[in-house]
Amino acid sequence: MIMKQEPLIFSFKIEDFDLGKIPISPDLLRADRRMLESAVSDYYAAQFSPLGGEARISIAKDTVTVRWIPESGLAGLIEHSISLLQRGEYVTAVPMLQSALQRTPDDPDLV
Amino acid sequence: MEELTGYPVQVGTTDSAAGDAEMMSAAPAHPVHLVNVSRRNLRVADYIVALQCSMLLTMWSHPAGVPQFRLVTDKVAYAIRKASSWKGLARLPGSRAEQIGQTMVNGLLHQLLSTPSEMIAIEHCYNECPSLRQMQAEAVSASLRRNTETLKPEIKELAPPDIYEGNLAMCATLASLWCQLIGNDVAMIPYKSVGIEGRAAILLQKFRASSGTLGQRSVATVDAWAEELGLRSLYEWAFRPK
Repeated sequence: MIMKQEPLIFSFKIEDFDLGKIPISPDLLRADRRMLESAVSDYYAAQFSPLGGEARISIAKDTVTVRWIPESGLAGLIEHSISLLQRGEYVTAVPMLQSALQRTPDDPDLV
Repeated sequence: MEELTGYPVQVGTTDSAAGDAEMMSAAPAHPVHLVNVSRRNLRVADYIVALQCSMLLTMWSHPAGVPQFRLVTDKVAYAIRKASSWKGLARLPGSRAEQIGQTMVNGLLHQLLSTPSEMIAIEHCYNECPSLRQMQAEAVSASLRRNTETLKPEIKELAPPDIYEGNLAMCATLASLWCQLIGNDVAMIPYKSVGIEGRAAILLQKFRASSGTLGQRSVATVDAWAEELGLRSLYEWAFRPK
């Protein structure tokens, strides 16, 4: 029997997103809300794509919500987040790690 | 580089490069390839050097010699006059309009010459230098970000449509190649928003259809793109013996 994994969810304000992560002029993104939302959504889809599972990114008003259902466990996410931290991508990594920590507060790697 | 071209590479830094680096191909009068990385890009210097060396190797692999892109002076002068008289530029003072028209025409021709060899080098580095992937992602993203500055309304208003669309089509083609390499389409979002992705697909198909050595592929792609963009009469090729 396949156990359905619990989704991992985190949210943040879209204005807190680091526009430097996107290969598009920040001025263009600020001037075009649809382009910004589409770019942020694609950015997080790409972050979760190598981890498998199912990622859904929704944007309502000013809040981005990322909902990821892993295929099996959080080990891949933790490893990916740590590699992001090592590259200095704190803004992307920290919400992922915080939401993983909420799920598994006793995980020694996370702690 | 020395084994394949007969000349060594000298690497340095510069404060004056308009782009990521300055590069000069070796010749008997200056028997060394020069690659000077902009100080702005020291974080990704290893990748920039690899990219520039790959572009040099591309050009040096043409069997006819090192390709030299020579502008046809009278045709280019006509293109500059035509660009300067476009309504967006014509409202500026005469000398300013001509200066900007010249910058736009020369910039477009430089983009035509450099983009195919840059695309070859980006693919080459991606496949052959996996240890540089993180630096490559950072450098290519920064380059693509700068390219999208062209999409600002004030640029569109100023630039003649054929120059504007030619520039956008080549920028979108570069973005499209990168999207295919990394499996993520975010870099194409701004180009899709202005409907230029179809033109980019045509240019990318011409790039993919080129054959021969990397140097032959680069020259063939420049010619195929020039035909597509109406620029073929503005330049000629000469080949310098290696």
